[in-house]
Amino acid sequence: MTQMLSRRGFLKLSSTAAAVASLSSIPGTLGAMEESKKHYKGTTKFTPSICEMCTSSCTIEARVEEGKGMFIRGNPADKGRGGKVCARGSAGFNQLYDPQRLVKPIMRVGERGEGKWKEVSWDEAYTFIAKKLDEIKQKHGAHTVAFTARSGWNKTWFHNLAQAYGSHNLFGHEATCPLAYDLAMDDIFEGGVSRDFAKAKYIINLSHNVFEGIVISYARQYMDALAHGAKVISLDPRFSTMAAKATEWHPIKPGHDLPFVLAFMHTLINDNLYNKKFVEKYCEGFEELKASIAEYTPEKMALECDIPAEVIKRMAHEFAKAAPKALFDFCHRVTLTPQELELRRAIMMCNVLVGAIEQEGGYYLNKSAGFYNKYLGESDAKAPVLKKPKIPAYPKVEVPRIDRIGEKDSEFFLAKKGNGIVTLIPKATLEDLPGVPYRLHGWFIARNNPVMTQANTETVIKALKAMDLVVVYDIQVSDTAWFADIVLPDTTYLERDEEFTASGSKNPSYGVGRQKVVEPIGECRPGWRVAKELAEKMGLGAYFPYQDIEDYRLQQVGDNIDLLAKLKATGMASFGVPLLLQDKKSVAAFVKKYPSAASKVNEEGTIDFPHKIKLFSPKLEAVSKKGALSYEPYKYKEADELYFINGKSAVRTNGHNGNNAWLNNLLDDAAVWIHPKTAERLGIKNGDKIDVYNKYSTQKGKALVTKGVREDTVFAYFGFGHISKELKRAYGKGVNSNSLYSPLVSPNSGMNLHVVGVKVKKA
Amino acid sequence: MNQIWGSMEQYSTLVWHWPIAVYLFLAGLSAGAAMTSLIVKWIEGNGKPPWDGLIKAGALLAPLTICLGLVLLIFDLTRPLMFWKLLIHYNFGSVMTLGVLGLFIYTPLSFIYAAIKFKPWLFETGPFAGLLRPFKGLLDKVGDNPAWLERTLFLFAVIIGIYTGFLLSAMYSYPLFNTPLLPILFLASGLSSGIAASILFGLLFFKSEVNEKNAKYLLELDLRVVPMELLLLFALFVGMYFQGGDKAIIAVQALTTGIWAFVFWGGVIGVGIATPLLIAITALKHHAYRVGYILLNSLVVLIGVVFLRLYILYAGQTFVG
Amino acid sequence: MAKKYGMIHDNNLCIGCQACNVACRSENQIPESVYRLQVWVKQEEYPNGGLGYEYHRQSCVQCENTPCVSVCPTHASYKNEDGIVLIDNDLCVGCLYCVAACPYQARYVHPVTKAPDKCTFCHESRLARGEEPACVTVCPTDALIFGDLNDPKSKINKALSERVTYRQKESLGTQPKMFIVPNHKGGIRS
Repeated sequence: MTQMLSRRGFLKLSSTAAAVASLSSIPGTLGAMEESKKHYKGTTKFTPSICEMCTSSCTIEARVEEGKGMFIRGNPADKGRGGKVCARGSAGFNQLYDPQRLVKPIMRVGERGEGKWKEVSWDEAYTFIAKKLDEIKQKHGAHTVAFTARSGWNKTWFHNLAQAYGSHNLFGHEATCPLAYDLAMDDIFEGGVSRDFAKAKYIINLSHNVFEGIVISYARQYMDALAHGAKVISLDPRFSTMAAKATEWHPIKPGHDLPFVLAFMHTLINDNLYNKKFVEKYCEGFEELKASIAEYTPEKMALECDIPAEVIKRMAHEFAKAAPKALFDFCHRVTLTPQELELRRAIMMCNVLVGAIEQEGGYYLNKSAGFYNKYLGESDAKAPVLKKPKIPAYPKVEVPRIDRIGEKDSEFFLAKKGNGIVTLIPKATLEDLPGVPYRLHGWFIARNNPVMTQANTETVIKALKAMDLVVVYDIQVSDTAWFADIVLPDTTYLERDEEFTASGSKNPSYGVGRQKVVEPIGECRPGWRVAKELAEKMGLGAYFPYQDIEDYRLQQVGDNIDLLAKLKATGMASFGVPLLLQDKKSVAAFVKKYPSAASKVNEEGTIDFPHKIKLFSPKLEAVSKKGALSYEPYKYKEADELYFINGKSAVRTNGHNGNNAWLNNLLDDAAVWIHPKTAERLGIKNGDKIDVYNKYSTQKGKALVTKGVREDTVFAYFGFGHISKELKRAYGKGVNSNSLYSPLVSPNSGMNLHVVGVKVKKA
Repeated sequence: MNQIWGSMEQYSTLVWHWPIAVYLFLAGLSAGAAMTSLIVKWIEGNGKPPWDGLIKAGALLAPLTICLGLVLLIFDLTRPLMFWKLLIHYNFGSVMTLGVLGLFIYTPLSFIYAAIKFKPWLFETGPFAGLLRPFKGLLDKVGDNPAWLERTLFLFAVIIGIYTGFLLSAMYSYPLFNTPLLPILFLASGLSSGIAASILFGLLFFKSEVNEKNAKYLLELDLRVVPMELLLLFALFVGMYFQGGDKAIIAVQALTTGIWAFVFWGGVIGVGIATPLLIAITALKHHAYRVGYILLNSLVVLIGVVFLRLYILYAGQTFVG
Repeated sequence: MAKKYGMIHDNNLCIGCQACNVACRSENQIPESVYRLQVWVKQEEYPNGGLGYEYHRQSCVQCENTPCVSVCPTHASYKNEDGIVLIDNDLCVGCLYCVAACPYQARYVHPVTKAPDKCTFCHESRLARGEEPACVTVCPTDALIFGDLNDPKSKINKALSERVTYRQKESLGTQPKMFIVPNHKGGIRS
């Protein structure tokens, strides 16, 4: 049995930390709470859960240690992550007892962004929100309130609330992060794909810095590949940790990844390096693709991307030779271009062209229960599918969403409704969007921080200020909460249980979501409860037919109590055996386990793809004339400007944990990388205070003179220059990169653009 | 790469600060003063009361300065209330423990020696005479010329003088400390400061009791020790230079960089060595007995030794390669 | 047989992410202003003109021949039967001789106890429970290997027989039990 420990003793450390970090007097914060009212109760046994210090959602386990505090480590049951966590993950404990975190609802009493608050009860908060939402509904329609929820579990609760209320304007954070590649894989493969880095022999990496923007499993796999002698090519305008570990580093021109990929593909096709058999059998649209990229010769594209033509060609030859253990990483966030969707599609197609799909060391399709079960015989046990409680139909909304997803002609048709194009919200608030007969009047934001994470901060703040209602649900007065009318205190991930999750890699897998390690501190409440209680206040209780999270989980597993028990005990479960459709050994093992699947095996001993792989997209062609690939040069900067790019450091994220004391102490200011020659030209020395400026903003920073960045480029870690004054440790420190970026929303993918022109001068 | 690992404040190589330098100075001075007093006392004809002013000055300086130094040392501990643990826990491999043991013997001996020299004041004329009278018998038993005590005291004065050097030279984390010449240098400069302090103290407070011959003798002795220091410093740095690698770089840095190079050339060499030599070959030429210059001479020697201790301690901890 | 704990820090696997740094703080309740463990990352330009990052684990190297223990006047600094250098706060007077004598700058003055403090391989907490030190437990890329050097079958001995290693400031004769695998792109820069 789990032993509960309740004592002040285990908090000695955090209270010292609190004393050091200047007591916070902000209403509603932990620091402002009376000592006697603080209750700390936690479990002393390792409890499997999921980290939330960034969005990578690594598996962890945590326990309270008597007289000490808490220790967090990776979940050793997760072989892919090896029981490991990064610095952010280890610092989770510090977030829990941060005196600056919010533990009571607070309401604005001054102007937005003035920082004047009063504490309110939950009931007052719900009453206020319900009344305001009703007013907007009466005046403008419920659809004029946008609901943003950062990730899965919050979407479950708050998107449900939104739709019950009558708004279909649902958003996640995706358009500021991974959306383009999700869309690309949906278009090409009709489903998600994963990368088998560990077994690859040749990897091309475009600024996918897994050693700083750490996803534990990716970092381990890349390291594994390198240790086994894989060749890793890093194309990155700056010398990242990935570039340092890679076999080769080529400082590519920022924003010019697409010309490189097109030239690479050109070589694959024109030098006959592609896998003709694979392309013929499993793909469609090859001829259209070939025709569309005919003009993008390496010689021509070399001038664009600044990688010599012979180097591009050599790489293409090496890549094809290594196939199928060849992996062109479709990356994450890289140096984004307005042609984001083309870029991700082009990368994925390179892997398709050499047939490195569904084999070790290449891409593989994510096999959720639905996918996997299709290959099983009638008599075989099926992978369980998690259920959802039955709820009444949502009220129908007659007008289109702001991103027009769901309309026939929407350029963003590939995006899921739950993701949406969050980057459009400021525009949809401040101006009339074509084909959208209304403007937004309210923004309900659960655990997302668009002021920090969306490009062009000024526009985001302007939109927030123009709203009739801004509700923020977060663990702290984030930069977005700073402009809110009401801020509701979320639980940290160590204080709440969550819904079970189902996903798939080589076979279906299930996760426990999060599990409570300590009881919620103060009056913070988990999302499943806040959404339900608010809905009840609004008379929408029927949409939340569960007692509590335990009840919800029971409904999810149905009668599969074994699954419930296993998930709670170990944090994860999987079904069946790994399956790679094009790998004979894997298929043989699969058939051995499920003999009835033999009928699905082809004459080569592999299994055919369920769909044709699309090298040409008829839908994109119909909507935007972009079925094939093309390169449209974009002017990122003026001739006398430098490229400005950003990236993630290993000890901070963009929007969320810059104020964590332990992490902030490691790095509190993001010095701007500048090449020695550029620095000399501008009269800047290492450590000098500098201004980084363009027409959007002027940011104050420090210079880091290093050969690790191109001469025409400056680089800074993102997640700095926080705007909320309640984030006392992080406020105003370092360059806020999103302030410098343009408000551009990329066609078809809705992504922000993270390359911009700036000037730099000594401050 | 940005510095993402946090503050590096804790890595200051400067661990020991000025109180240690002052302690090293005072301990050296104490040892030097004890030796000075004994050397003068052992001169033919000086072995009986009334004691020469220089003998008295040295005898008094030895216990006082060592006690002052020890008080400084204790308050410089980060846990001063725990200092008594030093007295009951020993690590015979640690120079500090050996120092403590040495001081256990040296300090009481220096007090007894001083008491013998100030017998009339202690038991008859001084303010504590009444209080101390019962102990007079004990001291009388020791006598005015206890050879065993004086020899042991001399031996331990040498040990104390040397130990302050070994205390630093035992640390190979600091190349400038970690040289076999340092203990000798500290002994020599300790003796030099002891002589100077005795002369200064003697001429200021026991002037009428100072025999000019003895003062001249000491001046001459000091004039031999001071060039010896110069030689030792020369050997120390040149020796380091020829060791090559980091040590050569450190030797050059320590003599050429920043405030500590300035202290070395101006304070240690200029004030502490060149000035007394200059005074010796000018104002005090042909053994002239000019009290003003003699006092000045002693003063600059003392200041020079303070500078030397400060310089070695700080430069040693600053230039680490 | 007594144990002899040692550790390997592999520069090729280390990514300088500071997971070890923070895990150590969490496990050992290190006050915010000080560190038992940091990984310093330094950009290097190799003789062939290429760039690289060198990773230096800044922490106690657990010498066999211990300058800190040698100089300690009260035996507050000592080496236990498993070869781990520890500090007995009850005996410490705070002379800082050990702090000064350590050629690796592994010791700092604990702001609360005022006694020197340093890496103990998590001896007092994790080793006692049969767990590896916190830094090793969390290291995302397995750049740290911990184990008993006296056990011929231990992971660390296996790794030592397969990888080229060196130790910092070996010429001082301190015989650290922290072994470093140099970056194969750059070479040994001790």
